[in-house]
Amino acid sequence: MKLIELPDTLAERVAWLIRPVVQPHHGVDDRNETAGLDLQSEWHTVLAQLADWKSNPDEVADEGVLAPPAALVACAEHVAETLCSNGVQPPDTLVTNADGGIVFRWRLPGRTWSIEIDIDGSIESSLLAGSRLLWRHSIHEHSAEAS
Amino acid sequence: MTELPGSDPILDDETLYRRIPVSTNWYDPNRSPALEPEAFRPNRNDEFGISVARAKYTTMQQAALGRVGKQYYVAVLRADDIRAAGMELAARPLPDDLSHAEITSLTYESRKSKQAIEWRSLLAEQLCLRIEGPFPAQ
Repeated sequence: MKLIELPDTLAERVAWLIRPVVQPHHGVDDRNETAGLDLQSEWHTVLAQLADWKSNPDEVADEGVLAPPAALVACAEHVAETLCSNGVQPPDTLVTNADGGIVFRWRLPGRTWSIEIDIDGSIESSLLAGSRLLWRHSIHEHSAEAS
Repeated sequence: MTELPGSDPILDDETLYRRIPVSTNWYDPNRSPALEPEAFRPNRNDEFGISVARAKYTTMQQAALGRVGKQYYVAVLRADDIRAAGMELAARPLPDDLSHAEITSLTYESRKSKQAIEWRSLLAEQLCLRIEGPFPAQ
């Protein structure tokens, strides 16, 4: 028996996680150039919020609430760029998870899809129907890229 | 034997408060649903459960007190709703806070379990009766 090759790079990991949830498309490069630029523009708010967390970590830190460290925010920026380049719309919510992690969340009719980058280096994609967990998958750091 | 104040069992009809920092953006009245499950995610200090305050021993304004200079909302919950969903509650009074209690089913260790994910979603989207605030910073 041969096991499947695990994705190595962060971009590959994200693409692997969104595959069961998001309809495939051919990437921004193959799309109408204007549509691609619009999508990048829509993601701008998300990237601006991440940049703000990186420069002002005290903004979200609180009793029991750990601000995301700069390295994790940088990882979240890469995730955001990869999602954008895969044609994913920006999330409806971008929040920290109280434990130094960051959550992207999309609210769809009857469904909630989240991608959570955790302080332990894992990235998890989960899909809920109401409050019922339908599907989830996480990838943990395993490659030399984990620096 | 004399019972310590605040250690009496939590009754089903009790109202409970959960403090939510404004700066986290876990609550946004313009969003639907307005409250995110992260408001009920245990942090690394929550070894035995996430904190709530019993309304019978405090005021909403007191429950909203946190770090100096920070503002907070307060989520309002009912004990019987939490129990009906399968979660357990325990009174855990502190020397300076008799109202302190915990949802003991939501611990840091179990934060990634399927059940914990579903309970957090339930608390945020169905069991939270309303949100008050933000209350002014101290």
